[in-house]
Amino acid sequence: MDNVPWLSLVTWLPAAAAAGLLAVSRKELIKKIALAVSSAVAVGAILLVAGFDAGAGERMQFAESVSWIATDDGALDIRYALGVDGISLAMVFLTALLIPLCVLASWSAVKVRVRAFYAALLSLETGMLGVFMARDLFLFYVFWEAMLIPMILIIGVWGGPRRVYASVKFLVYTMAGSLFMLVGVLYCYFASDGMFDMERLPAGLAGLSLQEQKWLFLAFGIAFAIKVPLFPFHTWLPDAHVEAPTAGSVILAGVLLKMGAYGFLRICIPFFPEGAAAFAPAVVALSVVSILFGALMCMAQSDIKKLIAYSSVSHLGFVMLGLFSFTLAGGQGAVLQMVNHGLSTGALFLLVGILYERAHRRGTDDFGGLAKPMPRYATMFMIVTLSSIGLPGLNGFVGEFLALKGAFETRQGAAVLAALGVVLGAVYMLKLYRDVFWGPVTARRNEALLDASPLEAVSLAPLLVLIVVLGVWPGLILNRTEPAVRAALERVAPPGEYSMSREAPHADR
Amino acid sequence: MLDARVVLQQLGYLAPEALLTVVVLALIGVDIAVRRNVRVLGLLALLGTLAVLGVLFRAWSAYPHNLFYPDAPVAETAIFGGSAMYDRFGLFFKILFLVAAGMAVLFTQPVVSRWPRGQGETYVLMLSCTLGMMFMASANDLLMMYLSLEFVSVTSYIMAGLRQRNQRSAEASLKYIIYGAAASGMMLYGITFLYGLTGSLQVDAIGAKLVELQGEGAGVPQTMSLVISVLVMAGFGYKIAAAPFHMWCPDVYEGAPTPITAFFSVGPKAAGFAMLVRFLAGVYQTGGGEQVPFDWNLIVALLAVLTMAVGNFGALQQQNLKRLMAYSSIGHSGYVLLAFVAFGPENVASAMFYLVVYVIMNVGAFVVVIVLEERFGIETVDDCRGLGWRAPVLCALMTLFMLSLTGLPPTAGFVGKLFLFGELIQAGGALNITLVVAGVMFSVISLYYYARVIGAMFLFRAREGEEGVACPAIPLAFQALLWLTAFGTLWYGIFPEGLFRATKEVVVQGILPKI
Repeated sequence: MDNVPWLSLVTWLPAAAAAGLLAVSRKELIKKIALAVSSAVAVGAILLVAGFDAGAGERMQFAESVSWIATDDGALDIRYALGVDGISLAMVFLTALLIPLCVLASWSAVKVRVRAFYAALLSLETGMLGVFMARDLFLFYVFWEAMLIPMILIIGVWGGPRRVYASVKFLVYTMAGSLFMLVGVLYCYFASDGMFDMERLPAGLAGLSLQEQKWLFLAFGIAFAIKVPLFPFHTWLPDAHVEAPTAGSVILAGVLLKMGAYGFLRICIPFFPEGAAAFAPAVVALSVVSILFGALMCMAQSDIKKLIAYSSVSHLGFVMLGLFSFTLAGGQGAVLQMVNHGLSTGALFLLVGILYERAHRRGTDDFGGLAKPMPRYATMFMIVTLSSIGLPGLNGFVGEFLALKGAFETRQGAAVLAALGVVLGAVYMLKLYRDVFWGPVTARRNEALLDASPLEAVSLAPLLVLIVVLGVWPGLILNRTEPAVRAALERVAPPGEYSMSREAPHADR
Repeated sequence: MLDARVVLQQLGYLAPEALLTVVVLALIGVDIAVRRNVRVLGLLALLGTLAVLGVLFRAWSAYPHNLFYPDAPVAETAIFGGSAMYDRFGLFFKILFLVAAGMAVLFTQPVVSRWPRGQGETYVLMLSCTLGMMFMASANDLLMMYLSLEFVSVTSYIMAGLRQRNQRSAEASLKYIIYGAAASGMMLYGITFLYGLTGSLQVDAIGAKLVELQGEGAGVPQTMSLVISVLVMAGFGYKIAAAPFHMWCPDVYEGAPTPITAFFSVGPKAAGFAMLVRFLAGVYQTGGGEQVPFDWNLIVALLAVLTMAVGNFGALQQQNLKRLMAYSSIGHSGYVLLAFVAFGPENVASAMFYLVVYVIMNVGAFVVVIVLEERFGIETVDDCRGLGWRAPVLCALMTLFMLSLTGLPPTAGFVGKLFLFGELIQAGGALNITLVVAGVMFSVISLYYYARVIGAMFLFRAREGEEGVACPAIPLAFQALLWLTAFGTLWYGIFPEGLFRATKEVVVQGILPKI
């Protein structure tokens, strides 16, 4: 059992299926294959979670490592190395869970070029899983870039009216970031005497000067900040999210944004602790700006999808704030919030997709009183809304609370301002809910809207269940991520006096 | 001075070149003697190329032994009194040229078979040009370099003008000649300075003499060295299409018959780089010897940045696919030139790796361009709209080549740039790091125009009346080449190890001792 490359199987199954789809021409069969494969991957991810040893510390589990590109003299040693720790596991689980739901959401929404759509979706899944599992920096970069093209196609071919503009914008932003990351990758490689191994690199890079660390932090950090997105790198996001088809929006918000935060946690902070500490005030400030700016932008939106897109900017601000508090609570809260945001925003985009498919509109003014014709739909929307604004008992509360707690320990001022964002979040989400669902039905045509079908309800059920489960039992995630988060933050000195992780051993530098 | 017996023995080193000459002569004979000879000519050219390739591989494995006189002394790699070098570096490039020529013959055949005349000339000139390139790769003295460069240039001028009664083709040829004449004139002028200073034409002797002069306190004045560097680099810059000697390139690429353009974009360019390596390694010794007070690496850095800028910014505006590829090829010259700034053995190896990869992916992209022009009548980016859903396989392959030219994983172009930039970072120094950042920035820019082609194919709807029209059949030769280059693009992207190792060995066994 130990020799089975489980991670490779999970990662490459979608890509293999995508290649296989090229031989299938019946639309119904294509959809069924896509659903079956993505469900199999989801089951695989659940098995990974079950088989994951939470007590094993920060070491990588299910590890695989094969030499890939190497020279005899050792000048080059690139390995195909996969592995998961708690953080990776949470992200892998989130990704694998969302893709089958995306397939269901596209079932009737995607009508043209069906085969290409599912092939792109499945190859995208391989790229995303690979990013979260890669333990070799080179491999990480390869997977990171491999996601780009399928995502562009999903936005650009099956998107809304301004899809080409949105996809080009997404492409340019992403590439600009990732090529500088490539320079960073190469520099790390030579600075560490030829290492691509992400586990050994933090130690291998210990000899970097502060100046080098700062530059490298920027080289990687800009790529990640674009993905997060941190204000002012967020301008691609509203366009991409709004123009993408439902599945694309769910993946963008649910998974792709997490890659930015994941990159900070996995690479920027442990590799360049001093650089990260030097830039922490700036990142914290930008996070607070993102939180408040995102929330304020949400209030001004009349397009539901755009509103949810901007709410991502705000929510990811909390993630970044938690991370850059450099405390265990903050880091844990950030990881939990990454999962939470994937669940709640993923669900919100799915819900908007359902509504749009029926009404072919999504302006807040177009609706009103929808609770009457669509009670089941309204209930689901309510649960997700409450999760998104952080109601205690649902998942959003724990993550936001921990992230803010961490921030309070080291950066009180920022935390106070950020807490305003929680209030604003409640305001814009509840305002949206009131406008769309409560009161009398404002428009005639909306009276006949069909309620969510059982299939749609079932496709949302896993998310709703997890929203509640993680709300009462966040330990499900937190227990597994703690060692990894602790390890990622241990080399960076937290500012201020009241640090929880003060007892954690600091590397002598 | 030269022992006749030694020279005769050394002729064995020229076996591949001799065989190629025979093939060229045979082609001329067949062209005159046989009527309706299109297929015969193509087949003969292809078989001839393969035969030369076979001899080259034999010579590669027999190295350093003379293929015909195994007993001949092997210590000496300089042959014919030092005017040429026989080493694996040269053989490596010759194999690359022959592979490029073989592919060129393949993708030329379906195109020229529709021409009323001129088929024979095309093959003869193409293979003669290849012969010149082979001499460029082994040339070791300035006279030999100049002669082989002219050989390649003159055959190129004629090839550019091969489309008869076509104004643009004639214009291309004329522009090529004028720019070429000016550039080689400048180069010759620079060479006379070098000869005047050192009294020698052999590059390593020149290098040694320059070091000696400097040791005696009679070094070359700064202004003089600047003038010489600029003049000589003009000749090289023209051949590899480096800015500001690139002006001929877009017009020639657009006007010349497309298969010829494709050939120009890979063969002579790689030959120019091969010769540049020899020249720089000899005249401007670094590493082992003292540094000669020439500003060449600053000049090369300047050329590289300028070339990347001209290529990439120029390509942004282009509608015509061939012009776009012309600017793109200028941009790629810029990337390769980066390796010549640091010019360590690893840098040369990475440049060689990149050239191989570039030949593969660029030929692939050009075959698509040829197919689009010949079978679909498409010449501009806008005409490609919606084509992705009419001809999915062709467009998917084009996407692969475009991604590789941009430098995205998992393609060979990515690994090529990785090695190129990586070795430059390893060489260290503020200049090199700055150049890498510049290279990366231009790669981001290049994504924009390569992605425009992909975008036109897949993101836009077809023009009225074109949607759903079945695509014409693609000739077998094109299909074979497309799959071959696509395979190479992916293979070297995922398993670059073998080629990477080979390039390093070549540099170590070939010209490293001098660098």
